[in-house]
Amino acid sequence: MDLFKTLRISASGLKAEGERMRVVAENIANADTVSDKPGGDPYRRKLVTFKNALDRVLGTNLVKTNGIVTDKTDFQRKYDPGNPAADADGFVLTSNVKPLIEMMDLREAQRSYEANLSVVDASRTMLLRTIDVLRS
Amino acid sequence: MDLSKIPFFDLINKRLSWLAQRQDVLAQNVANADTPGYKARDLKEPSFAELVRGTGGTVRPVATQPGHFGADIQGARWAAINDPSSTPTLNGNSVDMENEMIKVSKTGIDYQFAINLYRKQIGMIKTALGRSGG
Repeated sequence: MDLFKTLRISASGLKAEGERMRVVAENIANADTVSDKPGGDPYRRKLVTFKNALDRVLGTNLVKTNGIVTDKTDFQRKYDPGNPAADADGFVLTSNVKPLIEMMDLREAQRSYEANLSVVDASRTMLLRTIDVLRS
Repeated sequence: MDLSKIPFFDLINKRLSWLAQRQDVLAQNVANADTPGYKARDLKEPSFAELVRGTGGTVRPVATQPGHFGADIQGARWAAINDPSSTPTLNGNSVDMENEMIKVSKTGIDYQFAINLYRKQIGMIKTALGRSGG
């Protein structure tokens, strides 16, 4: 039935946004992670991308995460000779996570999650109305 | 008695399945609101004339090979078209969330409307039958 399919589609949207939320949380948590050896690379920001893929069981398109990729932008350099991760010149490479961008991403994921939830709610109401017909 | 032989019930049946399928398409749009390159889709509103004639703009399979079965399948689906009212953003996604939300709630209201019409009609039939006065 179409409406059950609708619920599954929205659920796939919720799952995808949840995954995105998880990656954002990982980025924020690791914003200050530096390398464990001198001059090494710190934490690299991760990004999640979505794709619209056919689900053969349902016969409809669902949202899937299209793998997690890393952000290619440059690391920031900070002068901190006392840090164990500092190179010979006393510079430490810090992660390319920008808290502002992460917060933006988090909010966007949250809004999309809510939007999917309201579609679930609308579909559920439609289903219940259909079942109500049996009562009359 | 086959209710679907009565044109009104057939109409309501088509309307409900159209609305359910539209909800399906809208759910896909909302779920793909952050998918790069995704184009928002919608169902074409069936015209009244088409519904009365019973053609209703559904997609029907065509027999192109001798081995193909009869082309009249249950639950023939309506064709989804790219939503003409949407404009793509930088990443090629053309889902307009506000628009989709309005459509979702409108679909829900229309569904309830069709269901209520159905109940009223059943009630009228019950009245005509003279039992318990529907």
